Amino acid sequence: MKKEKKEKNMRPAEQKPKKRLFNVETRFGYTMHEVWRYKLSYVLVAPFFILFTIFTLIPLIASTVLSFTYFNFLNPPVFTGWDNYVYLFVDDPLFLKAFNNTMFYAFIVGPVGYIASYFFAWFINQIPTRVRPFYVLAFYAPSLTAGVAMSVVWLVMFADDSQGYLNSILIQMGLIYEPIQWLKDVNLIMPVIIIISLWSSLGTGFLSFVAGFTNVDRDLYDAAAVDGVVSRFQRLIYIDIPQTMPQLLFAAILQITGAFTVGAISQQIVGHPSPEDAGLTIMLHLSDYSGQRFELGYASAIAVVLTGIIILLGRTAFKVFGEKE
Amino acid sequence: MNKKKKQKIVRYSIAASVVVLFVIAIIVSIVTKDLEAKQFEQKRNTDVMEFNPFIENERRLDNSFLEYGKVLSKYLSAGYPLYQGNPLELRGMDYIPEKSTINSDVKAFTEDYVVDGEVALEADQTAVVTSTSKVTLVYNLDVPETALYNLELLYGLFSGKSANMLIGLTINGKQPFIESSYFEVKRMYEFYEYDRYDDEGNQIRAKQREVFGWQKAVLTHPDGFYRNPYLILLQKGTNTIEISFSREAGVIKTISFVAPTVNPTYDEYLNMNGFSEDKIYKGEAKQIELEVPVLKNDITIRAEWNDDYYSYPPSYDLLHYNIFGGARWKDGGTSAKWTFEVPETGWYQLSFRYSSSVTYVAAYREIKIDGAIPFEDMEEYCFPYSDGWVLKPLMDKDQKPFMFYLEEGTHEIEITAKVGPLRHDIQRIEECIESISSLVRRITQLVAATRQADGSYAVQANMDWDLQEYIPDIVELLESYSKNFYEIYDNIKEANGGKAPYYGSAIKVAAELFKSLAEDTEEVPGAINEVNDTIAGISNTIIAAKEQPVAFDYMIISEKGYTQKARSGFWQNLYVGAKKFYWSFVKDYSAIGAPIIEDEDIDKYPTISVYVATGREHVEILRRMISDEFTRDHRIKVDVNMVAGGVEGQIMLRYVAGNAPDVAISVGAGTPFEYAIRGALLPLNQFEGFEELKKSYIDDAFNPYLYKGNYYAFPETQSWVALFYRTDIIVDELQLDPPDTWEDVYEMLPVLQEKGYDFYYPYAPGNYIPFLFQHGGNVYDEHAMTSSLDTVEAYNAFKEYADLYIKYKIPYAANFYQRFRNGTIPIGIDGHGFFSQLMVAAPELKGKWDMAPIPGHKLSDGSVVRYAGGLGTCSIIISSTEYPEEAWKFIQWWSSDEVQTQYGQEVEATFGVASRWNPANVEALKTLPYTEKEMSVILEQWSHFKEAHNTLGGYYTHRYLNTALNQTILQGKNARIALEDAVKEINKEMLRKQKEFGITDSVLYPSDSSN
Repeated sequence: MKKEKKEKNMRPAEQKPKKRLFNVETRFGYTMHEVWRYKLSYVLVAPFFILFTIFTLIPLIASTVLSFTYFNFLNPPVFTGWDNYVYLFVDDPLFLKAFNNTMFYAFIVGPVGYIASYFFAWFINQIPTRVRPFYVLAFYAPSLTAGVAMSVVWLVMFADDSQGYLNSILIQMGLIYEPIQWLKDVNLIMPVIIIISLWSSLGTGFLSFVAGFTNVDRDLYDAAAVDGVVSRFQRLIYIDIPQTMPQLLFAAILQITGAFTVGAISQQIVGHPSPEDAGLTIMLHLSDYSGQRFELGYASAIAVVLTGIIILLGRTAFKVFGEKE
Repeated sequence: MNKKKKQKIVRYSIAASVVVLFVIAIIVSIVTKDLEAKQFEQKRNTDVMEFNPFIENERRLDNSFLEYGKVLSKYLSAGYPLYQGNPLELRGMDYIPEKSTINSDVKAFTEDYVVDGEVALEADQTAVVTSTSKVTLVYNLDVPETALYNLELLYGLFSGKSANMLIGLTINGKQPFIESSYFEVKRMYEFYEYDRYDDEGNQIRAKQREVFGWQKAVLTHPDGFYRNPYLILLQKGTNTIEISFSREAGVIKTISFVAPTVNPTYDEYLNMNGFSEDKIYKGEAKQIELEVPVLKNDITIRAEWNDDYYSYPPSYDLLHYNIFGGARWKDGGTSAKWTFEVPETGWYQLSFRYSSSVTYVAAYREIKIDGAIPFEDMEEYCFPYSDGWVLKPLMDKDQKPFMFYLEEGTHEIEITAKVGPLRHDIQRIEECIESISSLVRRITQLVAATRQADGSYAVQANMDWDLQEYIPDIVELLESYSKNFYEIYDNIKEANGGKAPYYGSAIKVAAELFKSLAEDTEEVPGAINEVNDTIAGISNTIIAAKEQPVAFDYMIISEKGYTQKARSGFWQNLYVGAKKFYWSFVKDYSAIGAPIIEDEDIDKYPTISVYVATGREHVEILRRMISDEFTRDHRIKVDVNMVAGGVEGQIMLRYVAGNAPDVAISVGAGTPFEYAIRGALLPLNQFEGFEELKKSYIDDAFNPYLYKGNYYAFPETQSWVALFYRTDIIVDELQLDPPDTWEDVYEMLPVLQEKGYDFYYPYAPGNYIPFLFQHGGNVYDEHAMTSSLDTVEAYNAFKEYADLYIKYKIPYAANFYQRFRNGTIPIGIDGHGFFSQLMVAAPELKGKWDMAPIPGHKLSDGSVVRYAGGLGTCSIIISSTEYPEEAWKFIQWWSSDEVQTQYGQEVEATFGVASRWNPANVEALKTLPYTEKEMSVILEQWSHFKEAHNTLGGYYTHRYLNTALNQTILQGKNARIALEDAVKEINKEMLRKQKEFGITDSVLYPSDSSN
C-alpha cells in the first residue's frame, strides 16, 4: 500500500505505467528500480564518491584490517589478532604521552579555534558588504599560508637566541634578561605549538560561517524585531545561531578532525623526535612507527584508535548540532 | 537600492578598476625599467686606506703590521715616485745559498718538464726549481733609485695537488706590508671535449685540465682585494730580497722589479689612439659566445646552463651549457680569458649580456684586452645589479658607452673578479670587530661575567654598573662604532648602485645596537651576548661583501649605440614556461642520458637499474664513466636514475610496487640494516671476489652492515675527523703543542680560557661514541642483543664527555668555522667538510693552521687509542633483482681502487677542493690531493677507525643518548641516573624488536655459529 501511494505521488495518474527494468515486487528489485530512476543523481555524485572510495574508504578499511596484523612493508602481513591493541593500551608509554599531548592540544585549539571562527565570522557579518571580502581574506589567509609563515614568521618570532623577536622584545622591555628557550624548554613546546595553531585556525570552518551568516533570511530580523529582539546579541542568540546550525555542524567536524590529527606543525616547530617527546602527538607517534620502525600493523592500530576518537566526537557533534527530527 | 543606483555603482567600479589596472601597469613598467642595470658613479675607489682611531700608535709606525692600503697612503704622503726605468731582473738560480733556507728539491732547472709527452717547460740553467715544503731564497739587488716598484714573476708550475703556489716576500728582513706573507701564483686551466651530447641530445659537461707553461704574473692581492698590483718600496742601494715558496712546486725563472704601469684615463685613451666619430665601426654587430673560455685560473668557475628565452644557444628544450660564471664566479682574483676576432680596425662598443646572481649585488670586474687594461675605468668596472638578463655596453656613469680601439685580427679579453670600493669598508669592519672584541673583554673582566656552556656570558643582571668610571672612553668608542657602521651601511648601498644587498642588514643592526648602548651605558653588561651575536653577524658580512657573482652569456662588438633584444618579457617567459611544462611530461628528469656507445650487440646487453642519491653533476660524471668503461668492458647496460633526497623511501615504495632498482649507491649507512632484516637486500659476501675487494677498505667500516653473519652493503664514502688548530695562536702565541690525549686537552684548557680562547668539540650523541670506544666500552654486547651503555666503561666515558661541557665549559653551540677564522676558538675537532671550507673559503688562514689526529686516551702500555668512526654512504643490491651477478659486477667495478681513484680525480677536476670526494676505499683516498702531512693525519686517524654494529631497534640508542645528554648537560640531572634511564628504554625497544624478528641468541652471527 505504502509503495503504491508513493508512486502515485510521484507520477501523474494519467501517464501509463512504463515497462519496468526491475521487478518492483522484490525488495532488491525495487531498490534497483529507484536507483535507475534517479540515475542522473548517481552520475552527479560519482566523481566525489569514486575519489572518496579510493582515497578514504578503502584505506580506512585496509588499515582496520592491517591493524590486526604484523606488517613491515616488505613482507606480507601476518595475522596477530589483538596484539597491536594490547600493546597500544597496556605497554606503550609513549602512546600515553602522545595521547596526553594531543588531548591537551585538541581541548584548547578545538573549542577556542571554533569559537573564534564563529565570532570572527559574526563580527565580519556586522560590517558593510563591500569591505567584507577584504576582512574575510585577511582572516582566512593565515590558514592558507601556514607552511610559509612557519619558517619566516613563527620560527623567527620564537627563536631561542636574543635576536628572536619575542625574546628581543621581552629583553628590551626589561621583563627578562636571558633569552627564553621557547623551542627547547620541555614545558613551553606545547603552548608554543598551540599559539601558532590558533593563529592559523580560521580555516574552512570560518569560511562556512561567513557563508552561513549571509544566508540568514533578512526578514527574520524584521519579524523578530516586532517580537522585541533588538540588540545584536539577542539576534545572535535567537536568529543567527539557530539559522547557522548546518555550518556549526560542518565546522565542528572539521575542527575535531583537525585538532586530533595535529602533528605536522609540531614536527615543523620542534622536530621529531622532539626534546623528551614534549611535542609528540598521536599522529607523529603513528608516523614514527610507520616510517622509522616499519611496523605498519601497529601504526594502523594507532590510526584506528584515532579514527575511533574522531568518529565518537563527530557523533556527539551531530547530536548537538544536527537537525532534530 | 534602486536600479539606477546599481547601474551607477557598476559603471563606477568598472571605471575604477580600469584606472587601477592602468596605474599598476605603469608602476610595473617603471619598476622594471629601474631594475635594468644602470651604471652609477663610483667614489673613493682607490687602494689608499685611511687610518682610523682604533689602531694603536705603535702599530701605525711598523709597516710589517699594516695592511697594504695603509702602507700605500704612507708612501704617497711621503712622496715616493713611481719607478720608470728598465726592469731590475733577478734570475732564479742567483740566490745566495748560505743565507737561504733550502732543501734537496731546490736546484737548477736542467731537464725539460714533460706532460703527456709534450714539453711544457723548457729547461733553463738559470731558473730554480722550488719545493712543496717551504723554501726561502735570498737575493741581493742593487737598486738605482728610491722608488715604488711592481714585482713581476716568470714562473711555471709542476703538476701537483691542484692548489696554487704560495709566495711570501720580505725586503731587508722586514715584510713591506702585512699581506706580503701570502701572494699566490695561480694555475691555469682549460676546457676540452665540450661538444659532446648524450643520447637524448643534452650537452655533456666539458672536461677540464691544467695548462702547463711559462706564465708571467705581477704580484697583486690573490683575492682581488686591491684595485692595482702592489707597489713595493725599494731604497736606493743594495737590498736583500727574501722570497719564500711553499705548498706547490714549480720553476722560477726571473724575479723582476719593474716600472708600475699607469693606465690612461678614458680621454687620454681616446686621444692616444686618435678617436674620431668616422672611425667607429659601422659593420654588422658580432656576437661572441662566452661559455667556453680559452683559459681560466680557477677550477670551480665554468659554463652553466640557463633556460632564459634569449640565452644563446637556447637551453629550454635540450640542455646546453650556454652561460659562463654565475653563482660560482664570486671570489676576487678568479679570472677567465676569451679570444675573439675583430673584422676591421676601428672603434667598437663592447656590450655584455649578463645577469646578477644575488639581489642588489653589483659585480666588480677588471677587464684586460690583449693583456693590458685599456684605461683606468676598466681596472674595476662595475656590472650594476640587474634583475634578470640584460645586454649592456661597458659604459660610464652617464650611461654613455665606452669605445674601444681594436685592430683587425684576433684579440684576447680577460675578465678578473675584484672586490671593488667595499674594500675600505671590509677593512673598517674588521678593525671595528677587533676593537669591539677587546672592549668586550674589558667589560667582562670588569663585571666578572662567567662563561656558560653555550658560549654566552652570564652577568649579574640586577646590578648597576658604572662603566664610565672604569672605562672612561666607553661612550666615545660606542659612538664611533655606531657612526662607522652607519657610514659603512651607506657605502655598501652606494657601491651596489643605491640599494643595500642582504648582507647590509647586519651592519645596520650593529649600528643601531651601538647607538642605543652609547645612550645608556648601564645596559652594556646585560647586552654583552647581544654584542657578541652582532659581531658574528657582521663577520659574515665581511665574507658576503667580497662575493660578487655574475653570469655572462655573450659579448657583442658593434657600432656605438647598438643593442638587440636580450631581456625576456612576459610572453617570452610564458613561452619558456609552457615549453618546460610540456617537457615535464615528456622528459624523465631523473634519468641521466648516456653518452652514445657504438656497438651492434648493445641491445642484447642485460640492463641493470641503478639509483644514485647525489647531485646531477656528480651523476653525470658517473654516467660518463659507466659508458666509457663499465658497459664497454662488462657488456652490461646501466640505467642511472638520479633520486633527489631520500633514496631510501623511493626504494621502499618501488620494492613494494614490484619495480625496485637492482642497485642503489650513495645510500645512507643506517638503511641497509633496516632493509636486510626484512629480507630486501642480497648479502654481498656470498658473491665471488668480496674478500678481495674488501682488502682496500677498513674492516670496521663494514660493521654497521653485518646481520646474521652476512654483510648487506659495501661502503662507498667514509668521513674522517681530525684536530684542527691555528698554528699562529696555539704554537706561536701560547707556546702549546697540539694535545695528544684528552688529559693534554684538560691541561691546556685553562691556558686557553684564561686568554679568552676556547676548544671546540661538537655536542651530539654521536660524539660521545669515540669516548666510549676509547674507554674500552662498546654500544652493544658482542651479539648486539643488549645495550652496553650500562657498563662501567660506558659510564666513565659518559661522565667524561658530559664534563667537557659541565666542568670545562667548552661551548656546545658555536660556529666553529667562523670562530676558527677570527681566532676565538683556535682549536677543535671537526672533519672533512670543515677542511674543505677552510681550503676554499678562508684564504687569509693559508699556512696558519694545521691538522693532527684527534686526542685519545693513553693505555697502560703507553700507546694512545684515538678510536672514532666516520659513517658515510654505501652501495646495496636489492633482493628483487633479476641480475644479481651483473649487479654485483657493478658494485665491484664501482668500489674498485681504480674507479674510485678516477672518480675522485674527476670530481676534484670539476668542482675543485670544495667538494672533494671522500672514498671509503683507502687506496683511492691515498691518491687524493692532500698534502703529505694531511694524508698522514687522516691515515693515522683511520688506523683507529671504529664503528659500532647496528642492531634491531638501534635507532633508540641515538634517541635516548640524546635525551640522557640533554638531561645531564642542560638540565643538570645526575649523569648515572640519566644514562640508566636511557639504557632501560633502549633495551626495552631492542627486546621488542628481537621478539618481532624472532631472534633469541645473536643479531650479528648466524644461530649455529654462536658458540
